[in-house]
Amino acid sequence: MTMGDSQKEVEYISDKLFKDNSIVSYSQLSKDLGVPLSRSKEILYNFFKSNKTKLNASFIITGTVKGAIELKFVEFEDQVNEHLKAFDKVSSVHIYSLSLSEFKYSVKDLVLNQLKIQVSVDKLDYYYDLGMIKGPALVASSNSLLQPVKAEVVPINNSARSPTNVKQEPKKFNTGLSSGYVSRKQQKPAPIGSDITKMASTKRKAEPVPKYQYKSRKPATQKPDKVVMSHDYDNDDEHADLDVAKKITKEDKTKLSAMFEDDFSDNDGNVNELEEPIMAEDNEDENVELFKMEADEAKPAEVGVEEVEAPEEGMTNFELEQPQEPEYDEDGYIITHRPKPKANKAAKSANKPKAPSQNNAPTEIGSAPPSSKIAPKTGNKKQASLMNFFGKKK
Amino acid sequence: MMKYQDYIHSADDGIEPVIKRREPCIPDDYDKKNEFDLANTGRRYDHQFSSMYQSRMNSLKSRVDEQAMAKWGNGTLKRDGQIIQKVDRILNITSNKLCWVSGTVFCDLGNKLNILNDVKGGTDDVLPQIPDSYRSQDVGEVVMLEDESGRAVLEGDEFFKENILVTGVIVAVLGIELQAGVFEIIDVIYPSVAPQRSLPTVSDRQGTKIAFVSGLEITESVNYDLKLELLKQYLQGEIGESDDKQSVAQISQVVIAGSSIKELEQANNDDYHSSNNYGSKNISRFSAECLKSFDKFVSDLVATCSVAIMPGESDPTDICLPQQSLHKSFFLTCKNYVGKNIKALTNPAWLEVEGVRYLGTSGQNVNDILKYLTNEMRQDPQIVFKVMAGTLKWQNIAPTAPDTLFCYPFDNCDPFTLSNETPHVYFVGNQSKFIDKCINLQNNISVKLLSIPKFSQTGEIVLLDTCTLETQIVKIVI
Repeated sequence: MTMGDSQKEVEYISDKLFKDNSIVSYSQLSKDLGVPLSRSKEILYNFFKSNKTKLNASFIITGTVKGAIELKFVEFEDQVNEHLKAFDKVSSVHIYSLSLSEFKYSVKDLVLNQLKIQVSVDKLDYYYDLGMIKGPALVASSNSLLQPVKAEVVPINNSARSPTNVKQEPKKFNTGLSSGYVSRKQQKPAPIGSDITKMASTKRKAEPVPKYQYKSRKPATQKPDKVVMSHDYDNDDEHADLDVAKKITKEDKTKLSAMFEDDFSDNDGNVNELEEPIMAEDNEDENVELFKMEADEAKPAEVGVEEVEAPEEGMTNFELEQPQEPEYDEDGYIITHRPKPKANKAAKSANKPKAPSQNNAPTEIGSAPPSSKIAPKTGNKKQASLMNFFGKKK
Repeated sequence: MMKYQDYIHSADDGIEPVIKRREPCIPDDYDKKNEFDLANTGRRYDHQFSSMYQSRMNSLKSRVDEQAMAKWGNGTLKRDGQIIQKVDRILNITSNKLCWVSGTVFCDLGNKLNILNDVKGGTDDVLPQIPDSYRSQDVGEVVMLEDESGRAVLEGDEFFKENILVTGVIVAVLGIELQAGVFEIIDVIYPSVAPQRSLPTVSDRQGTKIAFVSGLEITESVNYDLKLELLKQYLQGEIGESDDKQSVAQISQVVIAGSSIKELEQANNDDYHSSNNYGSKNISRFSAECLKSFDKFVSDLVATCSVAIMPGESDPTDICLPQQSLHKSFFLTCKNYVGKNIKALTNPAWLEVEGVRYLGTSGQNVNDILKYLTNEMRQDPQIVFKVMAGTLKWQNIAPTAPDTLFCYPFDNCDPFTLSNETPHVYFVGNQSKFIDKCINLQNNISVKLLSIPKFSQTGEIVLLDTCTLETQIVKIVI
């Protein structure tokens, strides 16, 4: 330590070594205190000379070995002279770091200490003044420089599928996460320049329109007056269930549920076997009428609860099992109620329409009297008779 | 004997003079700058690789035939008392008659990757383990020459001790068919060399230095290599005294030739049946911490020097050649300077510095060819030079692509063929040792070959003087 070494620098080194028990390197000292690099090496070396017994110093030797420039890192001071012998020509020797000798710091510790030193591009002039070589001015590039240039080596047939084309193709399927829910909250447009709009602008340019949205195939003018009936048991449309379920009395529920359990039960097909045919027979005339009406119009199968204008559609076997005195609305249409089916999964799958195009069962049944459903009184499997109701696939 | 204290300099007055680095020498634009760039839509796999071979054949066969005709003729020259005949197709070779024929070399080696075997084993959807050598102890090696008509097995033990032939090379061979389908090779001819631009005179060049480094293999901070930190400080001019700093200031450009980032070591998982391609078992080859360390290294360096970065085998970019430049997202703290102070190059890449044309790769092409060679040949200290020279003689810098070197299935072109230009300097990164040699090709074409050693293993970087094209090694030793 010499008189030239200011108190501030000495205190810095002392604090680092004796209080923080850490390593001090020449570059760290230089950048933290704004001391030129050559000066920081000198200060560090002077400090080491003054406290040699307590400290360990690592050194850097620069020079040439067999014609090649070599930078040799020497971990301990007592090895430096030995390593000097390997050099053809020594350019310089300077201290690299200091640490307390009582702590056995490894090279890894030194590296971790060095990695804490950050070089900020905002303070380049500061670093240049300390001794870093002044490089070319940093020039921010435009994004266009990064855009890939069309390869000369790859003639590309743009008509073929490409990643960009694929992106533009509408997805046929959507798992529903983005399409099902539409908020009923009134959307307030975000003010221009607000954070929300900024965030949105940084996201996707165009959110994909949900592909799986139900659209009635009926003309728009045929708006329904009422929800008349449920068609598809398998379609768990909650809205349909809510609407219909409100109208179902507790008694109906019990009765109908019991009937369905029996119908779709795989365990014992003999119990209550006769109930269904009896109900169907009582309603036979009405049902025939209804089926004839249904036969006039083909109905898509994906409809869960079809909002219809007329009773022509949505008729199911469930209608056969309605009470003998049907309800009529003010227009004279039959109102039927759908109980919440309690049938097991097997029953559900049996009743599930296979495909939209196959949902022409009412037409077939319309041509065939529903007595075909009544016939198998002795059958053990009610499920089979239920399927017969839909008729054979064409 | 001087002690180290004698070398310790004292700061003069505490004021450090600002030393300015030479201006960067790679221009923003030059010919073939985008030679290996692929548009995003160009990275497709819906072509057959055969088209690439056909294109190579079309490009080089006429050049080979031209050379062979000049040397061997067609019924005009004699060798060992026999008239040399040209045969147009391999199928037309007549037994026991001296002739020459041109075609594509194919090496059938026991350990070569085989997609059919992968399909048979049900492992064709996972990246295969690349063997260290394609040669097998159990299966005999067969070198063949093929064209549209058929194949002939090339025989000649003495010949193959001296010459390297690997799959994809277009050559003409002189020899005799000893038995049906077996051709005893006597001599070989390579394609004519693509022209080379005239080298600017020394006086026209300013004489800066380019620092070539490869195989940094930067890891996360806990395993960070002190050599990397010393390299950075050396290039920043912090290590050493004023003389060292003046020398470093001559370096105007740092070129990182691949494998900058250390790959994670993956546990071998041969249980393909239960592995979940989309689950936790399909983990990345890269660590975010390594990428951060690399970003810090580059951003610290760009403060003082221009940096050009080529991707390599262990870098997070395409596995197929030509590897496209590293995405700027990897340079989180200095991405604004990508394109200017940081040049993200492809692998391979052409460079131009003061009129001198450079062609470089990150080493996969040479390393793959080395796997075709016998252990004895690989022990040769000059083997890397021989392979590099071979790629220039063959006029194709990656002949083993697509057979054993992953590459895109180019349609009706082969970007690795030197079709219209031969470089002045040809460098290859990630090699075991430094080599600096010149090779003289036809028509007084001379190319300087540089093999850049892997820094993580050797601690060496290569300084090239752009004026004299002389090199110097800088070695960092811990």
